Amino acid sequence: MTTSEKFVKLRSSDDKEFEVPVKIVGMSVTIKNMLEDLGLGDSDESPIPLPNVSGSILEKVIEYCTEHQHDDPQPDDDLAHVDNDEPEGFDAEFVRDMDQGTLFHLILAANFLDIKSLLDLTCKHVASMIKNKGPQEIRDQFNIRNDFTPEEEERVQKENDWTNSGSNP
Amino acid sequence: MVGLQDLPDDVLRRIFELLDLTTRCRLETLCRRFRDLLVTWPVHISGQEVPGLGMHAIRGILAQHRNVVSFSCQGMDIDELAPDLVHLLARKAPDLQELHMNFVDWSNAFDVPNALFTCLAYFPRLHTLALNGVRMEDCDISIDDNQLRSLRGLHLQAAGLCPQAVAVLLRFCKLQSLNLDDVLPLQDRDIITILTNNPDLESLLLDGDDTSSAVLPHLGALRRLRRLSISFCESFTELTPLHASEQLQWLRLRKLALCPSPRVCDLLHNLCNLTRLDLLEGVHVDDHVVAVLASRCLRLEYLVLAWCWQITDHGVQVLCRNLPQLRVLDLTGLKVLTDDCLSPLEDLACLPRLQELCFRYVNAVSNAKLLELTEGRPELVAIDYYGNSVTAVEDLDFGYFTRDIFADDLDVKIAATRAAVTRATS
Repeated sequence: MTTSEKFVKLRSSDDKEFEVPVKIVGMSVTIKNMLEDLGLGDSDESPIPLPNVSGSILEKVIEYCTEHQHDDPQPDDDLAHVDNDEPEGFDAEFVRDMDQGTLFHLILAANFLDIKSLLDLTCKHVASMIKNKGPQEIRDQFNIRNDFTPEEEERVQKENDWTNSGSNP
Repeated sequence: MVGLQDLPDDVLRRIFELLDLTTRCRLETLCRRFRDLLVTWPVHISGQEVPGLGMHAIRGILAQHRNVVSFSCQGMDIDELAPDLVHLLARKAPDLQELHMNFVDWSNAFDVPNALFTCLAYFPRLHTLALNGVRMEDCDISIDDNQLRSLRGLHLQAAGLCPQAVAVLLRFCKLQSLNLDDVLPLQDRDIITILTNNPDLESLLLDGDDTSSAVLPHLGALRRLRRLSISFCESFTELTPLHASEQLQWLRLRKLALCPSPRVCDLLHNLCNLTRLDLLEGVHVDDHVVAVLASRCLRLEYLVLAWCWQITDHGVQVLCRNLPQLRVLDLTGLKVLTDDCLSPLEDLACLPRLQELCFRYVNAVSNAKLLELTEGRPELVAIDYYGNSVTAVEDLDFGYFTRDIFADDLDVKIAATRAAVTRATS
């Protein structure tokens, strides 16, 4: 690490401060734009407040960005196609055994901070948790509240009952 | 606690996009928000994507979703399709853009006499229509020109056309992709009319059985043509009108029986953008032709030279040394080849991307030599005289092995073969 490397201070919602190299926070399009627009982070400026992100989540985000700081930037195509490959190495370890609270907070943080690769990784992980599971299993796993009226539910169940057998009646 | 239900719509969409149709339909039963997000989602109904998809499921999907954009019966049990399927589709998915109903006997299954007319009349926004292997009979549906203008892709391989259907075929003018391989009873003058009417054609598959040299100048005039297949070229004696088609990327000219080697050389000399080439049963395709390929067609990835029996060891050596992108090389039936033809491949820098090498019906190329090759090339599947992989311990049935270089799922099939061989090797 060279002495000339610039650092930025970030402050989480629970008032924890993190000093992070500009190159690493720059993976967040949101922060990068802030720095460019406001000219922040030139020297010992006041920390950038991130009121949507808690300290423990910000720590995870920084861990991820530190690992990926040398990656080639991804094409910026918004909601474009996410590749369906299984994550490997660091990425696989990073999301494995992560509790749901952390995972969903991390998704919200990646979305707010606009870090596409982290958003892709976490979304892919959620998708893999949903795949090949029955409806009740999914409902239990994610604690999804049923807000259908009984009539609606009967109809929607009837029209989708084929998904349980995967075949003809 | 934050949960799945607390994610904003755009993030949920990102997740749902990674899921298959069955899983998405399961999610719809869980809560209103998921259902509302998913019922407007573009839906592709395909028996290939959902194995065992039957009428009950199709009815459910059509009842729930407002945006069914494609329907393909591929992978479905065709005999199980209900007679009212077409009417149901027309009612629930009138904006259908893509419809694949290959090898369905329409007059039996749906009680509609003419599949082509019915589809054009029922689905005015259709972009792609595939009725391969479907027989048609004259009917009393009339089609106006507007209904013909939205169609870009029409696939009628091995279809039986009635005179009315042929007449409609002559009225299309915006086609970009057309498959008329093995279609009876088309005449030269019909083909010429179709080619003249559709100057934007990018992909074209013709039979050739009833295609004479008179069609060639009209093919050469198609400036956007990237993919051309003529399955029987027995009547062609020269190919000069195609010399200007340098934009061609995929080319299949099977059974060039009367076209002498210099004429084939002249053509290929001009086609530097080819990535896929199939010259099966090219009677006069010899080492001279191969030399032109090796010096001019450096982008080739898939090369089928099956039964081009004039090619010698020397020709294959030249190929091996000069085509860096080659992934599939099919030399089926080249009886004069010996182990010597493979000597350049001892150098792993030769054909570094090679995945399939086929020596079916080539008895002088030994399994020992092929085995030796695969040792340094873990990705390579080498096929021996009997059509088996030399590395597999058990016999694998690859069917008729010559690859269809125009197949949509060519790479998928290659990967599947590779996986089967890997399983059978241990």
